[in-house]
Amino acid sequence: MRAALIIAGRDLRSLFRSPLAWLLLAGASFVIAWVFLWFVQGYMASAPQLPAGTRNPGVTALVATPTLLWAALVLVILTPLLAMRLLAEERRSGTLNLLRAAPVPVSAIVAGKFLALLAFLWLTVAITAAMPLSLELGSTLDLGRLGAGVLGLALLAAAFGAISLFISALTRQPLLAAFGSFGAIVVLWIINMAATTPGSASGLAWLAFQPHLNALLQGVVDSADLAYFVILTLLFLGLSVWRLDAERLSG
Amino acid sequence: MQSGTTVIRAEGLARRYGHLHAVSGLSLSVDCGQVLALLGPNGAGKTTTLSMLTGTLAPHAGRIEIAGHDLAEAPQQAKRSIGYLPETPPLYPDLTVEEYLRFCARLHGMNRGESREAAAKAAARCGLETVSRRLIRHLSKGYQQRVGIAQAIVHRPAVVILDEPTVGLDPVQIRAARQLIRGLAESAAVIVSTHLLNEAAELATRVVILAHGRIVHDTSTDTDSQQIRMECRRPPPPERLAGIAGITAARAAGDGALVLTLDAATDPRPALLSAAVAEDWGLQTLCPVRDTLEDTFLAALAANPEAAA
Repeated sequence: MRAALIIAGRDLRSLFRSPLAWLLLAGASFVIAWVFLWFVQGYMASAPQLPAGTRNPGVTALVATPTLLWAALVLVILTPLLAMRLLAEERRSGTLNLLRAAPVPVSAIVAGKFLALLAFLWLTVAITAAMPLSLELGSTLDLGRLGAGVLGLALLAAAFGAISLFISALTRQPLLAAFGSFGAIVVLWIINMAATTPGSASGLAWLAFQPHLNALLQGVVDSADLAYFVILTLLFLGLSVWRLDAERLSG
Repeated sequence: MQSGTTVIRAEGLARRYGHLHAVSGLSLSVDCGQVLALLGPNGAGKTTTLSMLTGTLAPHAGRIEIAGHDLAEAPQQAKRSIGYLPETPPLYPDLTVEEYLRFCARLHGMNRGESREAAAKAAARCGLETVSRRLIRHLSKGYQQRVGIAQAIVHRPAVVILDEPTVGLDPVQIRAARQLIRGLAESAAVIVSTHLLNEAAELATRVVILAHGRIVHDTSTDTDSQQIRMECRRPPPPERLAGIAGITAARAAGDGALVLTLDAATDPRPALLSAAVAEDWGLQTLCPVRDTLEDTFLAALAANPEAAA
């Protein structure tokens, strides 16, 4: 664990010293803020026509939830771009040998890389969460539902990160890693579309991100959905460890 | 680590890439205090051997023990004692020299305080004090190479393995680097791979030549003994020369030439010259033998023709 934190610290330091990290953070914040303000404006315009009392869907459903969904789409692009450097770049520049020759287990290398990536992604999630939370100043939010949505977004970010890290472990070309991760995430995003056609297996639908994320965005915290994200994350972290270990034997 | 303790013990190492046997049946023991130069033509298996000894590549057969720990069974303990400079220095261009060295020290289990001290010491040893606050990406290739060496010694390992450490250095830096490497042997076993024969001759206390993934030659370069070559018109029999004080061995080298091995304690030249005059050998030249390593290298390769193929 200590070694993982040392590796993660080094990674974050390098990351924030490059303009890439700041550009991505600024770009992601800008897009999410734009979408958020757009939803706020739409809500303001339609507020007078909304039914009163319990039949009013409320500001959380009409502004916060769609903003979080859009933030998830931003993560689809952001995560591969951040993760591409992680292992592919280290392999290309030869620094992976430094970590391999050090008295550090492969699992600590993978954990360190993942923690650095997760810290950055969760920073983006925190910035995103702050936007709808600011509405609390002038209206009443369904904090439980918002919290469930943010939790979903955070878990989604972890799963995206683990998938991208694994694909970064497969290659020495950062750009290839980015495209590969993007492809893998998109496939897992839309895989339930195929499942909705008659005759296809429902297991395929369970594999997709969307239904699990949607449940959390609706404020339904089901342990099955949480387990889905945790299992997916651990699976790809495990695969990354296996891949790096196998390379020592076959490479 | 005590000088003379065996800190690297490798037995029967083998490594294949597909059908190509990069290294096979390689056994090697290195003691603390030795500087071992690993020589060999390109593709002889030098880098593969070093990668296996540092645990970055797993051997297909054989076992490796570093400072008493089996590299396969107790990799963390064994790796603590290894300092490794791969062919390409493993540098993070976005860090300063000091940050980088501290990171390397901490990876090897040092705490913050120890790492600060160790980084400063390693930087000083490698002549990096003036650039310690600069980003590695802004350093010249020579400085980057020195940062690579500093990284390998920052945690004071008992085994230092350097893959072509003087590549990219200018002649002044090469001299400094060699001095540094010789100094490391006071507390460590050092393995240096190189394809420069003069570097091996100058640096090493032991030379191992690899060809086709096998050791074809392994000798200590005894710095105490020295050889001279003598050419005469009427050469005396070698047994006559071996009798002179200060000469430990003599052999005929053809065309009236003799190669004499000297004992460092006594200078045999005055006795040799008086004998040459008194016995009328027709002495023409008397000169020290240089570059014997090149002859050794070529002879070792010639004796293993499969290696040249």
